[in-house]
Amino acid sequence: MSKEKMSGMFGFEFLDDVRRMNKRQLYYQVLNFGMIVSSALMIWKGLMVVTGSESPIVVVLSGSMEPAFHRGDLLFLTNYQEEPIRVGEIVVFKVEGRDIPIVHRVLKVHEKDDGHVRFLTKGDNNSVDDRGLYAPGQLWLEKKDVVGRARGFVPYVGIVTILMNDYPKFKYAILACLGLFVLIHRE
Amino acid sequence: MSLPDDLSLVHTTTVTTFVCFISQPKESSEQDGWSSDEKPVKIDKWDSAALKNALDDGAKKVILEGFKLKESHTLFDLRLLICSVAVGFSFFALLWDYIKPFPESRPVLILCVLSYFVLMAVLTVYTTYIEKGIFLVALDKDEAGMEPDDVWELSSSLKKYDDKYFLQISVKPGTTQIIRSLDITKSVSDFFDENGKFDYDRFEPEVRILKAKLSESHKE
Amino acid sequence: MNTFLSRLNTIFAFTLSVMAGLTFCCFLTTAFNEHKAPVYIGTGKAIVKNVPDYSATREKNDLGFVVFDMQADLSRIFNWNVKQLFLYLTAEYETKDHVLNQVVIWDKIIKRGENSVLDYRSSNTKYYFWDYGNGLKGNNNVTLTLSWNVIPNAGTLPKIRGEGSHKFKFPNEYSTNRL
Repeated sequence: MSKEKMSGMFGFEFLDDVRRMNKRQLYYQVLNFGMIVSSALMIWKGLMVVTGSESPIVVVLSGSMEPAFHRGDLLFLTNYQEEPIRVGEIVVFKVEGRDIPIVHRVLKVHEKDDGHVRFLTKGDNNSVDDRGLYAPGQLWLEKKDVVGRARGFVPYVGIVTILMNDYPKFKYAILACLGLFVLIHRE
Repeated sequence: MSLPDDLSLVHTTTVTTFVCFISQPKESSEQDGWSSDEKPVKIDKWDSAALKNALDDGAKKVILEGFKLKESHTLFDLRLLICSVAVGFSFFALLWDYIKPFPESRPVLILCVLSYFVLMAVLTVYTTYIEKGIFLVALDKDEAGMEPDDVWELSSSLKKYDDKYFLQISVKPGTTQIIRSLDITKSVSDFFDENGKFDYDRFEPEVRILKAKLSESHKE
Repeated sequence: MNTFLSRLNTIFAFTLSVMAGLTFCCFLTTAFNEHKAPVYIGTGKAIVKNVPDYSATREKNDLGFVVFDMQADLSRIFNWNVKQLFLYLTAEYETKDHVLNQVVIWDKIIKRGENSVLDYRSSNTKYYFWDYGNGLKGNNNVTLTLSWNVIPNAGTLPKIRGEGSHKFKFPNEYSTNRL
């Protein structure tokens, strides 16, 4: 009863839909929300499995590969272990002590007969190679450092992600609104 | 996978009746389902999903509260089950990938992703070919308990940007098993006013007459 | 479709999907291009030194010097879905320690609209030709190839090896004179 009065007082009319639902429908609303999240998650995990890369889509954050890639461009990565690493390839790699992976081009490759490979990278827009960016004392990258190699390119799309990461409050506000909408809105 | 029968709808209804009773004593008898004392349903009349839901709920109310049929939840429960299992797979994948980071979790991820998308396909097939817009399955129990139940099914459709609400009632008598159905197509504007307030009292007779016609025809 | 916001939303969503569709079509129109072109490469006299690499281990490694000639006409590779070419000249060779060594000794970015006819004579390398160890002295099978990475406006990032390569050898003795 108090609930009923509250809604009258504060005009929570948008909740009327929810109030009219029975337990099954309420559960279905939650499931619906879960399925939207799950679909996104499963597409991502599916891409991971197909491409072999732990993050199959990345957004370029810096200008070190200009004019090929600008901040906000989207890259599709693959990381097939059997594919050899060769010069000229654009790789995304992780460096110990750095949170954000780097996307640069391979400049030198030295491969042993057992397949063990050392390589050096450089950003197209940088005047020197990446040794200064690697962990202290690290001169070469190895296969285990690679997150993926760039295979596809779409411009601008990633700028949304960058904006969202620059304004985290904005991001959470949008996500909360969308989530709430899905939860209280009957299909 | 059977949830306890829901009471909340009835509960709120009685509460409202009580409130109404205090404010404006009215001679309406207790909940009989033929007329509505509930807080009127008001929706955004431009939202076709909301329109359809309001009408479906109205028709449901006529059948369950007016005719006192018993709702069978099996059809919807199966959909809930499919969705739950699908979501379960995805959350398991998330958990597993967290415990065993990527290259190691690959086989489990493949399994989960495949299962998830197969279940989504199953869900699509289920809603389009089995549910087919059915929003209520109700059982008419034989009082003597001798004959099998009559199964009543209500289905509806309302196209986007269209005002024509299509409602079909079909019955499969427990004795003959021969399905008969009747339907109506009406403009939603017949049942909603300018502000989107649902006029249950104008909608109720439509459903009641449809149901009554069918009942008679199968009694013959 | 009754409020300004819902109409705006519909227009926005429609615009986005049309743009996505057009972008995909643009990618399809050039997806099957081969991006191939013939390249001529030649080299002058090569010398090799054995000096400490202060940028790396400080150990003495082989450092090669070579001047190269190169001619290629890449203008036919450009089309409306090529934003730029990244050209790189690779020296590929085998040593005792490593079955495959690839060192980029020169690179260049050609954006669409810029001169795409290459004509280099006795050009110096852009990067130092360091070996990983001492595998350049007397190496008689160093292959130079020009490759390019096609950067599209939207699409795949193919890596193409130019048709034509050049083999040269390093002398059997280290050069001691300052270059």
